[in-house]
Amino acid sequence: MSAVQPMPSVAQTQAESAARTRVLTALTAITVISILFGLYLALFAIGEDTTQGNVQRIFYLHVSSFAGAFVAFGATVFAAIAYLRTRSAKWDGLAIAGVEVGLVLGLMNLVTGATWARPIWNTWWTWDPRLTADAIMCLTYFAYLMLRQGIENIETRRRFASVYGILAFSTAVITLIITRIRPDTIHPIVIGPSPANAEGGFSLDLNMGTVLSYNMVVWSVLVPWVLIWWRIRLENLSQRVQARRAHMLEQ
Amino acid sequence: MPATTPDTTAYLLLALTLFFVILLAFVGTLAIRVRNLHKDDLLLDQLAED
Repeated sequence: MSAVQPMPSVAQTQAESAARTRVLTALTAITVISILFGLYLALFAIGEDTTQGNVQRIFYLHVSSFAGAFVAFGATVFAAIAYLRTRSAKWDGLAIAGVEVGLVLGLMNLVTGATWARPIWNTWWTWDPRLTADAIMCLTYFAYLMLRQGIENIETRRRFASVYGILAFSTAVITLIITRIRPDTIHPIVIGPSPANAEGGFSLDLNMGTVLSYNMVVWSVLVPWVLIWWRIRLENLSQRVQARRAHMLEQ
Repeated sequence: MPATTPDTTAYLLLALTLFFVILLAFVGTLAIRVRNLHKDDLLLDQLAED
């Protein structure tokens, strides 16, 4: 066995890239179809909630998008730990992809919650522990993107972002568990018993559980996976262009 | 508990609209960023040839 790994040819690299693009394109198509089918189930296959009316249907997407955000932020933690251990730029690419995708899914969760709250709680927003924790989570990850841009040195930026990405995950965990540890919340718990003060809760029957489970899989597996993959490709392209630019400036 | 089911369809439609607008806006920014990087790459090609 040779000690030096042979460099892949340009044609080989391009063929591998084309194969990956085909896989990602197919996965994207599957994801879009799965989203549309999940939407069909939530809007047409399940009956209307007699207490809340049609707005209750949004919870299939509201809960699922938070699950997706949690998975994406979890991917950032994994990537950040891997970066701190290996100092490989590819892990930093996964970390920032996780933050961007998680933030988008988190915002989708936040706006659907606020829109549901208007007819059910008679307000768009209230400083309930769950809502406050969710808003803090989104702001914390928004700050990640802002602060990252402000660090010039690339190694320092990646190291700082890794540590921040790990610590920031605590806000996602707190958002997840706060309805179970704060008795004063009015936010209902969909899976499990709701707190005594919960307003707008409902019991999950078998059909609702099936539709929710389906949407949870779509939004916490397929959607974050596909979006993170596309974002990583963008990051790789960006690094290649930056390296070329730096190389030309050196000449 | 209300005697009749309230009509909250407008809020459902608003929530769905906001939900997918945010998602599509993100996908759009990804597409724009990729297009801009490809333009930069082409420009670097031209500069390298000159």
